[in-house]
Amino acid sequence: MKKLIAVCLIIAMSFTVACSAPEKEEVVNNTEKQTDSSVKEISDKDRPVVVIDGDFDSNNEEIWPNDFVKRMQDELGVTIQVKKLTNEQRDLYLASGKADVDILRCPSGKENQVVKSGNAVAFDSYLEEFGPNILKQEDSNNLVRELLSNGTGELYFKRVQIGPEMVGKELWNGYVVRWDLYKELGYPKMNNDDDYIAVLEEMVKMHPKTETGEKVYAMGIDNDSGLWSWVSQFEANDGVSNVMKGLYVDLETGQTFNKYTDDRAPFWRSMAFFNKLNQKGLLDPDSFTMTGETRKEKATKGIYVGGARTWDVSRYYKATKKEDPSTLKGFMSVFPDTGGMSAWYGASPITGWEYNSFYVPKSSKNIEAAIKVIDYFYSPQKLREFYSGVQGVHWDYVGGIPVALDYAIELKKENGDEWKRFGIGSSNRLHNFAGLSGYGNYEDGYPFNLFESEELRAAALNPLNADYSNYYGVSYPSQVHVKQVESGIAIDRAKDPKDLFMVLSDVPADMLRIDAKLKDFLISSIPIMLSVSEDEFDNEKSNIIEQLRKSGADELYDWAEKEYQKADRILQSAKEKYNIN
Amino acid sequence: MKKIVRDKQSLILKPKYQLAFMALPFMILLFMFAYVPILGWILAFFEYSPGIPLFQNEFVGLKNFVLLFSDSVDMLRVMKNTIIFALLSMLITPLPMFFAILLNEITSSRYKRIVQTFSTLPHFISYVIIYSLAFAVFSTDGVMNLFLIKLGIISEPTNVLGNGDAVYWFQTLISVWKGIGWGSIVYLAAIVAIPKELYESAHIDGANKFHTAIYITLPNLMNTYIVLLILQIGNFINVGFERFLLFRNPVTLRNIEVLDLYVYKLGLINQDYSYSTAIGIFKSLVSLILIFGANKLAKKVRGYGII
Repeated sequence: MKKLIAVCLIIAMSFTVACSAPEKEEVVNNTEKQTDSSVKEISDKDRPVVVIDGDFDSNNEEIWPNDFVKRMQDELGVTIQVKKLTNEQRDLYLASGKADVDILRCPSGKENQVVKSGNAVAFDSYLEEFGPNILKQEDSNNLVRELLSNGTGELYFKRVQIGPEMVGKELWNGYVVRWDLYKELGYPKMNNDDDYIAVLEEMVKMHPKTETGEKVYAMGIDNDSGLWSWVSQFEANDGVSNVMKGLYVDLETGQTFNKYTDDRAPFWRSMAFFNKLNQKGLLDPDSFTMTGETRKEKATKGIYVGGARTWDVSRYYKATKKEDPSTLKGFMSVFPDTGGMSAWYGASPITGWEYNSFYVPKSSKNIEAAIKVIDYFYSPQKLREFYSGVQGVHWDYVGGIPVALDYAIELKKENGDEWKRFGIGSSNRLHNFAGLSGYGNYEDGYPFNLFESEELRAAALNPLNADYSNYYGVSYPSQVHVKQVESGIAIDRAKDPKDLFMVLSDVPADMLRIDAKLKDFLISSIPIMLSVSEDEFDNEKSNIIEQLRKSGADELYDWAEKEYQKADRILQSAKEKYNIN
Repeated sequence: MKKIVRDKQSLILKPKYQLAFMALPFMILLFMFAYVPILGWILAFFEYSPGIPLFQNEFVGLKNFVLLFSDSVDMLRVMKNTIIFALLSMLITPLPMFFAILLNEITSSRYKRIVQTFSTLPHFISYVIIYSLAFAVFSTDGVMNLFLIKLGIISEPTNVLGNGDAVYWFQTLISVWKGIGWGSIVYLAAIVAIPKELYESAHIDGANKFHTAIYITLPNLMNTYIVLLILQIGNFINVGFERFLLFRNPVTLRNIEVLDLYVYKLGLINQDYSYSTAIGIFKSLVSLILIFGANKLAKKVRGYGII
């Protein structure tokens, strides 16, 4: 009995301690509140934390929070954190319904699944109070409500980078060559892939070894990104849109074709090109085994004279420029004089970038704060600040025209930590989270991004850019292609049907399986296609296409073609319904 | 009341239950992490999409299992690779035992410790680092090619990492290098347990080191070997996926894709959860059959097994 009483007493004491704990904490808090510094500490602590799912930019992770984010935090009374997630983690959140992230990126093409799961917050009831700027995006909102709500008509997703896609100062695709060697060769014409290979061959002959004695190759491909590494440059060069599984759209004609079996498919264009390169011993034999990092290291050493994409080999210029600031040892994209080659800019999706639908999960403890953060990135004033900095500090009106200030231009050119600390544009880790494109216009009639004006681009050229531009008689490198588009001999991606991605979100499991199988088959076919002689190439190609057909390539294309046409009709009727051009 | 408490106390304190109670936390862990996940097998019977409540997903019955057996091209290739790797790993199972015997014969304890440390070390190196090391050694501008070219043995560099035909033996060599030292520890412990008198009497009878190793050490290690072999057979098709994932490239893809990697690819890369679960179930059933089969065989041959 005594034992029983003792147990009861212990339990009673535990309850007493437990119940008195908050009081004790309150006392502590009250004491702390008496000093100013502790008040600030507590109010900072009490700010809702908004965690954004962002794998946007790993380059500027260390500068956080930057000045822009600090201002945003103070204005909204929130603390922003960024968490990098994989698609598996996003699926896990989706399955469990519990996410420790407040703004989640929807796994590719799973918008309707997210709505069906009941995990996404419908924005509409919050918008008047917390999302006035989101409300202003009527066209985008209407299409998203119509097409990504599983028929409920509610707004569950916000997309990013709505508006025209910027053309950069340089372009990443085209015939990528080492500019100093190209100049040394006397700027030979490169009007097709064969010309390009011949130029690369000449360059390797001229410089067969690096300064440290390593063998030089035309280019190398890494094994990190699978098929993409081999085909993406041909998708850009040929002006095709990888709009859905099993199907490409020719941006010039609007025709669709089979992604796996058609001659025009970037994979087959790529194989024909790399076969020739490999047969001439110009392709780095480590192309099947090296990682992306190894390829970059090789490029830095000067082992390549060409590249599949400029950013594959861009480290070389950074390295040579350190030793000689005026060097021309770097890579530039050359486009055929005769035109016919496309480049990656010019699309203007009403609903922003594909595969970038963000939602607020119902499990978020800070739904209102999360919507306020999303809204901040749609505010025209904040977007001008985001892309161009603070008025009077980084830009100002001169004669009624907004211009970037010299101080900011110089810092941007240097691209050091001082510039990155401002968090302006692409130096901000959240730059891909901006609701509207920097190319869109602010209420003063000028773009949000004042650092991308023609004058500033021309003024911000490095010696390599300048030499290239001088040769072609343009103000900055990308103008070479822009002029070709203007003269009608080349196309950009203005006709890229990016808004269709929304309608094509649900792909049946059977089709996904076929597509995955075909992709694997193509990847394992690359070494075969590259090793056969030119005479055997067509034969081997036919064999592989036959195998692809047996594995369902035609079945997938037939399904995709029907879905594409259906999606196009749905999109057009939604546009008509809301009077969107 | 008093009586019940006392009875319970005495039950716990009984020696035969003490060990069982000590094992209880581990049994609970085993149950939670090995048996509870079996409930997830239900996914194989639905076309599962994360986020949608399970029973709102389309019920597909045995469709995923039918797909598994009708997917003749990929499944056959993957099974062939798995069996080859599994057989090769069975073939190398005696190596740690032989290594332990050789190690045991080293008289210098300092040298023995050095050899044991260096041979055990690779076990602790992750496959990510192993791949980097392998690339540094075997790539076309790697150490091995530079060495062979300098010696005039080859004129053009070769890259074993990009050789589809070399996949089986190369991966087996890597697993020997990584596992031989670690695997020998259990045999070294078993060797210590062999009565010293056996060796002394053998020496008196004129046996040399080779004779004692063959006629005393080896037979005494056979029981340990058989137990490990049975366990290994149970894991016959569980050849892992990590190293295969890292060493996979367009050239090796067709030969290196084993069942575990295939399940990983379908489940986590392609996010085809239902089909990958069906393959996982199939794999578990095959493993169960193999472990019971091996146990039965051991009983038949040696008179006893482990179950």
